[in-house]
Amino acid sequence: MLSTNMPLLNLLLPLGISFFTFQQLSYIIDSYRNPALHYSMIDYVLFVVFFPQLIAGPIVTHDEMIPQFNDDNKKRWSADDFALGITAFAYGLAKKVLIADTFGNFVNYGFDNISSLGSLNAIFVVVAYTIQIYFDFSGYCDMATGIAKMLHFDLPMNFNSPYKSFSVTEFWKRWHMTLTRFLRNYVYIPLGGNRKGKAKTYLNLWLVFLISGIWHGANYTFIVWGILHGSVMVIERMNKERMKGLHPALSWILTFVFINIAWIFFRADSLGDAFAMIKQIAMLQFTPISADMLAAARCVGIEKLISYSSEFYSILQTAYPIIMQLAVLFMVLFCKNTNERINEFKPGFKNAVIVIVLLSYSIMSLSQISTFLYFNF
Amino acid sequence: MKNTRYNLIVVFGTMTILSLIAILTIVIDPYFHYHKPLPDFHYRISNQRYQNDGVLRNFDYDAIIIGTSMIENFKTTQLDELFHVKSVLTPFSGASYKEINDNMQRAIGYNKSIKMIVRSIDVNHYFDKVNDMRYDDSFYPKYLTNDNFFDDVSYFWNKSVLFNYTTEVLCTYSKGNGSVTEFDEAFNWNDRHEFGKEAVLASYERTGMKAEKIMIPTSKQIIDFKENIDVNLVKAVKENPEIQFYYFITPYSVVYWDSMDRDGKLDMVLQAEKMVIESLLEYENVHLFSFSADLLITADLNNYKDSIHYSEDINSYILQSMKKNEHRLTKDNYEEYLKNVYYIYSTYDYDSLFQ
Repeated sequence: MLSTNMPLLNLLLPLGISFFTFQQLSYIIDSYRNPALHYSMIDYVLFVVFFPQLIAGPIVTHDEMIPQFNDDNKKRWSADDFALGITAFAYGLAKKVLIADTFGNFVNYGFDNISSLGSLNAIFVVVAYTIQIYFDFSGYCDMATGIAKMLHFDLPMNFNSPYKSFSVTEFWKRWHMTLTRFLRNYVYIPLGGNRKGKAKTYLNLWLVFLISGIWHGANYTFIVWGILHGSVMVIERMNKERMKGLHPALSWILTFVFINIAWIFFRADSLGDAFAMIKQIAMLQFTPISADMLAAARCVGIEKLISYSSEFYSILQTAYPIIMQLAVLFMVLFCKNTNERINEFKPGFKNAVIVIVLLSYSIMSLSQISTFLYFNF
Repeated sequence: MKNTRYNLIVVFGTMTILSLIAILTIVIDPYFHYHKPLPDFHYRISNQRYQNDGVLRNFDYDAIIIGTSMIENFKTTQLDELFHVKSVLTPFSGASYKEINDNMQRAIGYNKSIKMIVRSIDVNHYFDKVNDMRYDDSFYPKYLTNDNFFDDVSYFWNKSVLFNYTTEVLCTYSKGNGSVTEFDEAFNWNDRHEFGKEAVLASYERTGMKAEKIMIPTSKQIIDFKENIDVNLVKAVKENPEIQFYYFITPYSVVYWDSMDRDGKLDMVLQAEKMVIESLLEYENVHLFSFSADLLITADLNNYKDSIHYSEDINSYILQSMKKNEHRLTKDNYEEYLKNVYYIYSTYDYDSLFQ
């Protein structure tokens, strides 16, 4: 109904191919390992086409889903689960539409105009992408969880405030958790895991991230991203004891800076672009937030809001992206994530108003948005 | 609060808010998508690609001025006076023949009382293909230009429309004193630019050396362009004999012709122009005009802000000429005209412009 544009290229690869491929891989491997595993054709098909998470995860396993399909209790309407579901959905939609897409416009401009950015703009754009990819992907997963929940089904948690991590090892326990689980169960452990000596453990760990990089796309940038993460994971594992001595603030900063740098490779169209972006930051030439970037970002609601404020606040007109970014980072680090909110959820008037506002405003913002980032993976 | 009650509040609350917003935008209708302007509000016309379709479908008029930025400085009041019509002005800046034609055809389909259409034929679009558009597909608000109600959600549930148009119109409420931006001013940029030799040359980059080779169109280019002419210029003329089509070839300055001359494209451009002219002169309801052979216009750079954009005085002159039937191309004079244009711009002393 909402007009979406689907370029031809997307049709060549079905949406979410890697997600349902992984799901079926795990199913086939498990059937092979355990011949007693037996589901009916209907159950299997439902497992494969269950729409809430079909396109971009979480990557579910058969033993999580099929027992739910067969549970008679789950076939009944549940007002409690619907309330949780619609709340999670509203948060997810708002994360995607209001936060990820807003920062996405800055990011698109930034990565299209790397050479003219200067350090401040470059740092802003890089952090904006860090925000975008998290809110985009976790917003999607919240929506998937929400829709499933409205239908009275549970999906596994895929994100647990990853940017609160104090190490890259911890990050991967919090980011795209079902992918990490898949890679652990079907790549790392079959390779021998940590049971064949230290050297082999490091190699296996490193290989898993290399494979993860390759899985994310046919470009060297993704491979470099995978290798960066794999290498830091190995280094962290080698220095486990020494890491404990670090001040938590320092370890958080190191981790967050590393994650940001790695995301540059994930987002850049080529290795050249990625290095050009890093160079922009390293030059330490600070210029104000680019007027072209502000124009390209088209933050309609915020601009309208600022236009009502007096001249005294005119500085806001150029500084608002940074304030927005700091506010979102604050949210990421210090606020509860959707899962925590859902776990503590109590139906109430305040919650209802928040959900109504988020849903309405997000839907009002849809007609100018693009597609989901994680469709391509 | 029980979960059931929470669910009801959330679902009906969201539906109520969205319905109210939808109703507000549908009633106010700042893009004229559903109806003509209401009598108690002031409507701003400023967004060509979003509002022209509504203007063409829902305004009361019997004449259209349509085209690219080459028509933005026309005054509908002048056309109305000269030809005793009631006209609307709908420019699509930089548009291809297809885009202009699609919009024109849609207007003809909706408004059966159209008598007259004034339209620019842009020289810089010669050799475009039949389906060329200025922008990517995703640029155009297709939800406004198709007849599918369901995708109108992108219009009435759209925060840009709500904040920048609907609420703005709403705030202008004044009983019985409604108005709409005059077409004479809506897109006119005459007062916003400097005209004259200095301005024109400042925006022009002359190629260093004159091309030695004279470019000739390939047979594929000729077939493609012929198709473009047939579909996007001629078809409407042929299908609507009761409408008088006042087509004019855009009068670009000598500086534009210098670039053609430098690139060796003069022959090519005039070959395309010949195809346009011959295709259109077949029809009695076509009134075709060209000013390219008039050096009083094209060589006087005081008329231009860059190599192609002319001042509103030229727009006014074009309408007067249409009324007086001057500068009109006919079967009898067009070959002479083409020879003339070729002679003028192949022998013009361009270097003197740059001294």
